[in-house]
Amino acid sequence: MTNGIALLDRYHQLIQSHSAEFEPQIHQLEQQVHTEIARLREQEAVLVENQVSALAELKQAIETDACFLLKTSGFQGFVDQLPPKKSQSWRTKSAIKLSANPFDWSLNQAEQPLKVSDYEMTIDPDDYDDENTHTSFGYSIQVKWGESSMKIERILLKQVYGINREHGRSQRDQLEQIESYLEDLWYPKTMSLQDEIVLAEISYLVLYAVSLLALEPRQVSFIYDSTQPKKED
Amino acid sequence: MDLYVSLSAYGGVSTRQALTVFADAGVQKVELAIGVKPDADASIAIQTFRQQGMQFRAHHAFVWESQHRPFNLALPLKMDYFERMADWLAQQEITAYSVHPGQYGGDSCSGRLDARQRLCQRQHEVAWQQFLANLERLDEICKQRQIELAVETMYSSSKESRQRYFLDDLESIQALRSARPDLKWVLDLSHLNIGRDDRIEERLKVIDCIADRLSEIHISDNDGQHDLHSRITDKTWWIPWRERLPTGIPIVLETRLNHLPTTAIRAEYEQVRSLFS
Repeated sequence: MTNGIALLDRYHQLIQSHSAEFEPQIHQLEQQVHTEIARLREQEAVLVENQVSALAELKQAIETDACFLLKTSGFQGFVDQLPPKKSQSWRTKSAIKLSANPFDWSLNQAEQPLKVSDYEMTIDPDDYDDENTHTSFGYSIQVKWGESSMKIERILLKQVYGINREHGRSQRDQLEQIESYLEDLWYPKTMSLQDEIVLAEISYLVLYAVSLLALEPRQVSFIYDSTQPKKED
Repeated sequence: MDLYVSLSAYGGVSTRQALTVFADAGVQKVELAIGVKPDADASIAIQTFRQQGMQFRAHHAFVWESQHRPFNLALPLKMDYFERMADWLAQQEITAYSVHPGQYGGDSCSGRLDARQRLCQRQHEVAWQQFLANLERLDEICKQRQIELAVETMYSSSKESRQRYFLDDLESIQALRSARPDLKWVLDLSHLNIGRDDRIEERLKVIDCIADRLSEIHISDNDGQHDLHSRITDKTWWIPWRERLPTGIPIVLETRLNHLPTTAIRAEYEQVRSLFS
């Protein structure tokens, strides 16, 4: 037992020596980083304010009529990178195939605006499926197409069942959720083929608009493990 | 027509809150299920509403005490919990209980007969035998208490899913019918809409296969890919085929009505009821 106590003492002495030698240096480095970050934040303040204004204007434009996005290279890239539909839903009467070029979409000739607004993140800690409870993360959004308006209460992003089990929803999956909800914009009218094309186009635009409405101003940051608060031993 | 509403239709609140909303909406037949928050009052609330005339059935990992107990009948299980649960059902004079058939590691078994495929088939066989053994024991426990046990038809998992349900296709359903001809069944019409062959005749074959052994029928709608429990509309696939269903079988509405006002729940209940009258 005596030998064990001596070993423990020796270990504690080594820890103390280590702390005495290196902690002041790490602390000094941490102070330098804080000082430098503060200086950078001061420098970037105007740019961040400009980003806030630009995003507010973008949000306003999307809330007024999101159709302007059809002609942006960002939207073209967004459409290009989405994988094709996995399977045809029973509820979709016909297989809609949109042009790969949004410049050709019928929404470009639309006489009524598509208003997308009120994007909000949602968290439901008491969600459940047929077998298990879970926490679900998603968002809600308001969509107005001409005189028809609806709030999509929840598009699922992720369901967390526990530490090691979660189910994320892809953009394709979100697109199909949005399309399924937005069918109600036409209810109770029977949808024509043209209506289904417009529904598919609107769904793409809403999903892309959501990615823009979720943007936040970019700020410099510096993350380095040694500068994080020390964990208790 | 016996139209029940599943408690999963109004989850995220306590059992007492959900039953109060149902009672206010004129719903007097309820299937206990997952969804409501477990609490020590659940059992008392169910008893109170039962004494006021509400009728109950129970389904799978339903909430009845302060802990929620999910389970998978394809895995080895201690049956103590089920004995306790069945005792409680008997005390509450609830005589119908149904379960999901269990899930197993459903990695693709297709391709040539190599070692991986043989292992996959072996895992499937072990899980299937475990499921049959659990089902038999659970059936004994229920029978001893005059409770009718039934097992539910499931849906095809997505290709990305690592788990697959038993009873997700006609072949699997026929296999259990042969193994347990005495067993009762729950037919879930919305499950037939997910990930299957879109041909109506294939869905109708499933219905016909178990039509003479039905304990209850579950109804809702979905997008064809996920079990969304969405509202039934005139586009719901089984609407033109509902006359084909055997009459006199309890129907359980599983549409999610969470957060809706009592008036909306009453309207939904009456609308669905009119579909079968």
